[in-house]
Parts: sequence; structure tokens; C-alpha cells
Amino acid sequence: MSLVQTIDWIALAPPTVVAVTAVAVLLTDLFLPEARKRHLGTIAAAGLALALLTLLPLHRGDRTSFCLADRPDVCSYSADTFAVVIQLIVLGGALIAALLTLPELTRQRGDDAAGALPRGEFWFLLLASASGAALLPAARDLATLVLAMEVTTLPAYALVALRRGDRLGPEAALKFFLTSVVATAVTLLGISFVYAGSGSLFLGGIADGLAAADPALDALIRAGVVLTLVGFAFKTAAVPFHFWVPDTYLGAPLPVAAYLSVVSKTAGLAGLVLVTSVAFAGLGSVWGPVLAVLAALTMTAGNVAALRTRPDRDRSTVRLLAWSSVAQAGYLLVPLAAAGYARDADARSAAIGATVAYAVMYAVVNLGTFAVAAHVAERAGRHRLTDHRGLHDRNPLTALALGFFLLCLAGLPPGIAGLFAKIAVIRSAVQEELAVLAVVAAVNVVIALVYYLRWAALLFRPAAPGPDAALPAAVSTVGGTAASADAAGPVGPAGSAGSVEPGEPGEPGEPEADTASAPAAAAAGRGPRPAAPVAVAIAVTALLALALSVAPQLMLGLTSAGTFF
Amino acid sequence: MSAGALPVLAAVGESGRSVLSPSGVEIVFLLVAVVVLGAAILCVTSRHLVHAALYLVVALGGLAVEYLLLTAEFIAWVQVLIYLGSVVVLLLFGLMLTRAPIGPSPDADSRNKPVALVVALAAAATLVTLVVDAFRTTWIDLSTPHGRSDALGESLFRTWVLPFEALSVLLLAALVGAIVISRARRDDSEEGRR
Amino acid sequence: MHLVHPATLAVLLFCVGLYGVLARRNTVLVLMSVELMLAAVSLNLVAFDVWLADELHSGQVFTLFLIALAAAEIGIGLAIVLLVYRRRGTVALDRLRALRDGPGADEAAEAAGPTDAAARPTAIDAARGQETTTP
Repeated sequence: MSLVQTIDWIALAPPTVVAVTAVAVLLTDLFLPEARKRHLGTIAAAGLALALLTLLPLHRGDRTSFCLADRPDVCSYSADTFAVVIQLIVLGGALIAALLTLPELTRQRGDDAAGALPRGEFWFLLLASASGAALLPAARDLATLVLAMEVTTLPAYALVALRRGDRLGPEAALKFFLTSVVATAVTLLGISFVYAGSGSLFLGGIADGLAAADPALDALIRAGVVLTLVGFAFKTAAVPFHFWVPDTYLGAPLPVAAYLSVVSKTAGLAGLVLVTSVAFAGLGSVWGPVLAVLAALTMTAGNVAALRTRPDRDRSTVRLLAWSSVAQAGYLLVPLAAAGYARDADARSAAIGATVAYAVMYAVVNLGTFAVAAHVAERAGRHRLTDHRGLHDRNPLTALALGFFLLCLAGLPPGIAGLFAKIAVIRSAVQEELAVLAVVAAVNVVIALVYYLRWAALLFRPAAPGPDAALPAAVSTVGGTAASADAAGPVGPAGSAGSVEPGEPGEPGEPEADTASAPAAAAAGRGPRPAAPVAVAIAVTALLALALSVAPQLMLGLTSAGTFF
Repeated sequence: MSAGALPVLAAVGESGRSVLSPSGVEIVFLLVAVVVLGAAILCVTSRHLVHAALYLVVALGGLAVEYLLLTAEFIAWVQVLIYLGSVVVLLLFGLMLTRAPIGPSPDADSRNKPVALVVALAAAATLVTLVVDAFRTTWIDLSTPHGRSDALGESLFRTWVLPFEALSVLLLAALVGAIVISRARRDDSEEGRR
Repeated sequence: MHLVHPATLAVLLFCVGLYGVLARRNTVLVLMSVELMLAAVSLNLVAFDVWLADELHSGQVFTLFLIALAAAEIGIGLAIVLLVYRRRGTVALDRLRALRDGPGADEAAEAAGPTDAAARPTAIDAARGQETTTP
């Protein structure tokens, strides 16, 4: 018997390249003088781009690695279609988050200034987390899966708390950390019960073992299945494990929030798919209903909370995006619940395909929205929804891009990508005769329209003429009746702070730079263009969303039978 | 509830073993289990913060003895080395650096105690019933030791290389993350002096 | 050995840890309770591995990984706790309310800034004051 496992480096390339880049960035940080540290971002982005390129040889989806010596069909790492698509989403998401951070890092005055992010460590932590997220969808045994999940989230705890001197970051990181660790412990208890019932930690082995399990262990196995879902549901931000999301997104730097909302969520979703559809394939009657209830609760809770966000409060953009991402997690769970009721492997594959297709659309569009929010916050600095007012006058292309992203998230034409993704999701529920779930999903789509359209309408409204004009009452009527009265308060003293100079970058953490309704802007016409990396991010995501709208079969092709497992 | 303690107590396995006639190993296991549980309960209820940490040492040390009884010797020593040697030491440092008072601390317990107790008791009742029902007639064969270091090491480096490497990335990330977060800044100490 | 013994001990230990997580206010004590939960799961895994006589030693190897994972998490967890303590002067979980949604949240967030230094001596004084009043 050979002493070592065979390693297929080509299959392993995506996570390996990212991990090696992470260490390379950390080492380079030691040797670069302060003036040259901006190159660290370039190295990190280049590493992520290279990792994306290494996905190309894997498109056929038949490579495996780390297989058992005496059973070559039982492998720890499998670069099949599911793994490659999820790795594409994850690595692309990490690259866009990296692009969003670049302007902020070039602007700050050294690593120890107030509100600064230590550069070398930031890139290392981001890349380490991305390597874990890239490993996860290809993991085919529970040890690798759980560890990959932890490699994805542990650097994220540090990323949330990383900003120097930040008030809210450490508290957000603490809440994120505590809830995440408890969820992991509960998942591990479930895994131990499943291990007792099946005798194996390999996903295929678990499926076989559970099918032939001792009937006395039946209740224990069911409990184990339900408990195992807890940890992955937590990372996907399903209700009732969603309480960490608004707090964490609010306290973290915006690019980190964007990263969490897409990459961490996709990784959690991939974990859920692997655990339910591969390991627990025969127990769909147990996890199907659980996921259906979770999906319904998540969509509703997320949408209702997003509706109640007041647009004029500080950080309302991030709050809205946090609750919106919770609701979107609900839509992502609907086809998974349907997969639990699937009669055969083809139907299950189609349901998983619907989830993955929705994840592709969601990743592209959500990142684009965060990119535009980053640009607007660069100018105004307080992350308020009302700062987006009149964006069309200042940056018409950016405003059009954001309007398109919001329509995709809402599922309305001309956001065709979003529309088709939502249709795929609801159709998967209908095909498995989950009528209640389909109706709940449809109702939630309508509820979500309100706050997405409210935001989109803000973009095309002309900028408020003066600081003493009350913020448009129409903006806040749906959110809260008393909002207009309170809105005049915070805007009044701050709005008179002065005009905006197009070239001057807003400094993070200095709210005096609020210029949302400055009269000079209206007089000057165009606002400042987005910083180059942010502009690239907006352009890339907009083009991808357009491509998915014009050719939806790019993502809907994933729903054809036999693609997955 | 069909599964109760009685069927377990009455169950007789092969070779005539039953729960009511424990072997020597089982007696020692049960005695140490009482110590572990007692220490754990004291750890989560004690109002002296440092005492809680020391009870945790007893609980985790007792678990190491249980591992030895289960013939998992390598795990037992790793448990002592890492859990007792580093995790508890870190916790004690954490208590010290957050100025934990010597003597009872008024902020050790929150107001949720009754709710927490109800939740924990309900969870315990459910899970114990499940476990007892599932393992009514299952015995572990301890005649051949199953956790020898060489067997475990061989398995680790033959079958579990990939998670091992993922773990190394995890540890490096934890190290770098912990160091970069706890680097004291100038304005942190200025606030303390104000 | 009857498998019920280690399995029940593990489950009871897990629930004790769960109580600690929910009932404790000091963050370091919550971390201790999480360690109890993880240790309980490790016991479960080892017991099942020995029972199944797993030739791949999956349970025991996973336990080794879990022990390392617990150490990593405690490391970063304590770093975050220390950072929170330095910035907010307290590690009591119900005092850390700056991020809560709701009408009082913005004011609490504003108050978190300038009164950091004031909060820290207050916490220690409160502890000392209550120590002297309780017999």
C-alpha cells in the first residue's frame, strides 16, 4: 500500500493558489517599505485573478484528488461541476471585494492612523478566508468541510474588527464570533450523531451508511441531521440564525460586509447542498420540511425588517443591504427545500441547479450594489440611503448600473437576470408540489419590490435644493410615519456643513463631510467619478448582470438534469 | 415514551453483560464522569471567575482520563497538552487582562438564568432520551486498544492530509488575526489615562 | 463498556455548556462554556470511533482537528474580547448595545465613543461597591 495519497495539483489549483498568495502577501509585507505597500493590493488581486484562471482546465469536472489508496472512488477533494461553479462565484466575489478595498487603502495615511486597515494583514486574512471558501465546495468529507467552513469564517472575525480605533467593529466582531462558535458546536454534535449512525465521515460513505443503518439508531440519526444543518444555516443567515447579520455588517468595513454577504453566504450554501443532497440524500423527508420552514421564515423576516429601515439614519444603506441579503438567503433555500422532496436524482439535480443559478445572479448583482454604495459613501461618508438621492445627476452611468442591480434583486424587468432566477426558484418549489412555499416566495417578491423600488426611485430624484428643505416625505412614508419629522433633525445641522469639492476624498470616520444635499453639487452638475478600482468593479458586475440578462441560459443551463450529483 | 431507563437496565448483551453489572472499567468511568459533570456544573455556575477557570481544568482533565479508559491514549495526551496546557492558560490570561475581580464578581451571571436553565434542561432531557434509546444494547469492545499513536499517525498522514493542511491555514490565520487585533494603539492607552 | 456511558456524559456536558453560554454575562465565561461544548462533542466522537473500530480512525482524527480548532478559536476570541475591553471598558454582554437596531441605538452608539474612559472605572467601582455591600 502506498504511503501517501495522490495529489492532483491541477484540480487543487484554485484554493492552493489563493493560500500561497496569502502567505506571499504576508511575507512581502515584512520587506516592503511604507511607501511601497500599495503594491500588496496588486499582488492580492493578481493572485485571485490567477486562481480564477486555474478554473479553466477544470471545466470538464472530472478531476478528484486525495482519494483513499484502496478505494479510489472515495475522495476528499472533487473538482466537479458544482465545485467549479461555486469556486467561480467565491473567487470572483473575493476579487470584487478586493477591488472595493483598494481605494480606501491607498487613501489612508499608514497602517496605524485612525480608521486605517493594516494592509498586509488585511490582504492575508481576506485571501486566507477566500482559500477556505474555495476549498469548501470541493470537499467531500465532513472533516474537510467543517474545517473549510472555519477557514472561511475565522479570518472574517478578524476582518470585521480590523479597522483601527473603530467604535463598532470590535463589538460586531464579538457578536459574530460568539454566535458562530456556538452554531459550530451544535453542528459538530449533529455530525457526531450522524457518524455514529453511518460509520463514516466521507459524504458518499455517510449516504451508504445511513441507508444501511441499524433501525434502533433512527431517531438519533434524524436528530443528528437536523443539528448538522444548524451551523450551515447560520453561515447562510437563515432565520433564526440571522441575528448576527445586521450587527456584523454595520460594524465591519464596507468591503468586508460585501465579502461576507456574497462569499461567506455562498460557502455556507455550498456546505448545505453538500450535506443535504450528498450525505443525507436518502433522508429528504427529514431535512426537506426543515429547510422549507427556514426558507419561508427567512424570506419574510428579511423583507419585513428591510421595509422598516429608515432611509435617513446613519448607515441605513448597510442596514438595508444586510436585511436584503437575509431575505435573498431565503430565496436561495427554497430550491434546496424542494430538493428534499425530489423523487429522483434528476429532479434533485434540477433543484440544486436552480439554487446555484440564483446564487450566481445574486453574487454578481449584490456585489455591484455594494460597489456603488462604496462609491457614494466615499463622497458622503455616512452610508445613508438618502445620500443616493440625485445620483443620476452626478454619475448617470453609476446610477443606471445601480438601478439595474436593484431591479435584478427585486426580480423586475429590465432586470431580466433576476426575473429568470426568481422564476427558476419558484418553479422548483412548484414542481415538487410545495404550494405554500411557492406562494410565500411570491408574496415576498412583492414585499421586496417596495424597498428596492424606493431606493431606485431615489436615484433619479433631483438632489434636494437646500439644507433646510425637509427630506422628501415620500421617501420615508413607507418606512415610518414619524421619519420625516426626525429626518429634518440630523440633516439640518450637518447639511449646512458646506459644499463638496469633487476632487477631495472623504475621510472615513469623519461625519462632518456630509454633503448629501449640498447646493453646490447641483450647481456643479457632475459629481466625482468613482475611484478606478471601484469603477472597474461596477463595470464588471454591470456587464456580467447584462450578460446574464441577455443570455439567461448561461445560468439557467445549470438547472438541466444530471448536472449535479 | 417507550424508551426509558428500564429497558436499558434490563437489556442483556452477548456474553451475558448488562448495564447493571458493570466491569471495573465502567465503574472507574462512571466515577470520573461524576467528577467531570460536577466540575462542569460548578464552572458554569460559580461566581468566582478564577474558580470557574480552575473547575474547567478539572473537567477537561477528567475527560482526558475518560479518553485513556476508552483506549484513546494519543487523544488523551493531546487533550492535556492543548486543552489544559494552552486553552485554559489563555482563558486565565483573558480573565487577568480584563481585570476580573478576585472574589465573587457581580456581573458573572445575566438575568436570563431561569430561561437558560429551562432550555438546558429541556435539551438535556431530549438528547439523553435519544441517546439512551439508541444505544440500549451496544457495547464497546475495549480488548484491543484502538487509539495508539502509531495507528493514528498513520491514518492522519495517509487519509486525512487535506483537512490537516486546511487546519494549518486556519492556525496561521488565527495567529495573524489575533496578533493584528490586539496590537495596542496609541489612542487606546490615551483614552485610559483620560 | 456500555456505549450509553460516554454518550450520555457527552450529551450532559454539552447541555451544561449550553446553559453556560445562555446564562453567563462575562464574555470570558461564555468562552469557557463553549469550550465545554466542544469537549463534549470530542468525547462523543472518540467513543463512537472506538465502538465502530473505524479502520480510518475518522472520529479520533476529527477530534484532533477539533482540539486544534478550539485552540484557534479561543485565541482569536480572546483577542477580540481584549479589544472590546480596551475600547468599551466592559466585557459584560448586556452592556454592549451600541449595534442594536431600534430608536435608542444611535444614541447608544454615540455614547459609546466619548464615555469609554468613564465606563471602565465605573465597572470596577461597581464591582468593588457591590462587594462591600454584600455580606
